[in-house]
Amino acid sequence: MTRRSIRNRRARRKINKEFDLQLTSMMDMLIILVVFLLKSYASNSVFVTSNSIKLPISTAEENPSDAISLVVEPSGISLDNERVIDFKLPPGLVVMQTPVASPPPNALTPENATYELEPRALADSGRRIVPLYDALVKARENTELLMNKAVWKDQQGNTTAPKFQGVLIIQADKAVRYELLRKVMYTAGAAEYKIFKLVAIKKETE
Amino acid sequence: MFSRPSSRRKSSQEGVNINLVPMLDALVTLVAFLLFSTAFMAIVVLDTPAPLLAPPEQQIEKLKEKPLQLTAYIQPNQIILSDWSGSREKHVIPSVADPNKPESRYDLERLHRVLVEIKQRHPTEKQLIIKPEGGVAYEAIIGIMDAARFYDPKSDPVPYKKNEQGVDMPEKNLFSEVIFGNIMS
Repeated sequence: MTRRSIRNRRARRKINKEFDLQLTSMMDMLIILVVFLLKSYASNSVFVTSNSIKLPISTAEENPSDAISLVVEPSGISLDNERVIDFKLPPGLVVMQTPVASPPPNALTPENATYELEPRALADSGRRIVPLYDALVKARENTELLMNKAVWKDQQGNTTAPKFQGVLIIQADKAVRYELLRKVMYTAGAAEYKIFKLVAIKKETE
Repeated sequence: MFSRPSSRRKSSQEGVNINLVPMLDALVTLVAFLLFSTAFMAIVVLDTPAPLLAPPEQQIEKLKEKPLQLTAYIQPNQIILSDWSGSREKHVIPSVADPNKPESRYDLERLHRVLVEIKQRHPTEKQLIIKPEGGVAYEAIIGIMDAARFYDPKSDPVPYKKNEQGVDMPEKNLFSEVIFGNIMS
């Protein structure tokens, strides 16, 4: 009788006790994962690339900085995510608004795009793209306006006004011909952009 | 003296349990967000300055130094490397067959070797002017820029240069300034 009652009491205590899951090791793992992801997030993901183009691969090591971004897509040229000019669309092809995994056969892709511009959009013997020039000048003026309002102080306390660096980030599909790139760079040069940063995917080192 | 087993069991000193569940929730959400937004494809940029005409007095000063003005004429089937007159350096690098593609490709390994040899003869030169023809693909231009900009520390005879602290360091840059020479023409 006594023995049974002791057993019963022990069993009751076991049932009432809460089940404790050991979370400490899981927390350790998650914190390491968060630190790793935060580090790679800070260095890479600031820059957004276009989904409709395939960038070339390069051994360069410089990370992209914050600047005005120009994208040469199969359907046209965009500046800071705003479409500036459209290329001639080959007959029978359609522009896909959002990239899909398996595009239909009549979808416009970097391979079947013409990358040709209407002659009326060109000036300076076909070297300058007029709508792009206007957009680049407007973007430069906006940046200069913002910079004129900003005031920097150096270590001695002297105030200096930041200058427009004239940096232009160019993203283009790897199949784009130099003929078009030359027009883009000529237009940018005419709009007083002095440094071009060509975007590529970093080559994996062995 | 040891206490009785029954008293040890009844001890009031129980471990303090921190409630980790809310913290775990936050961490899982953060991991999911970071995983979705992190770019695992590393993006890099290649700098190239726009060709600008220097003032006439600077041009005269530069010409006194007899610059090499090494220029790469990128044609559909070959690359011609030449100095401004063609008297000091002149090299023709024909394209080679690509086993993966029907069309030929530029011989970037040979171009790199030739550029390393030129750098040995003209160690102060750091500029390469490239003049691609209209039909050359952007991918090929990036490949040529890569071949020209840096030494390959694994295979090249890399020269050593003293840094600010006076320590010999391997030189990284080959022809680090690659300029498009025919944008304005």
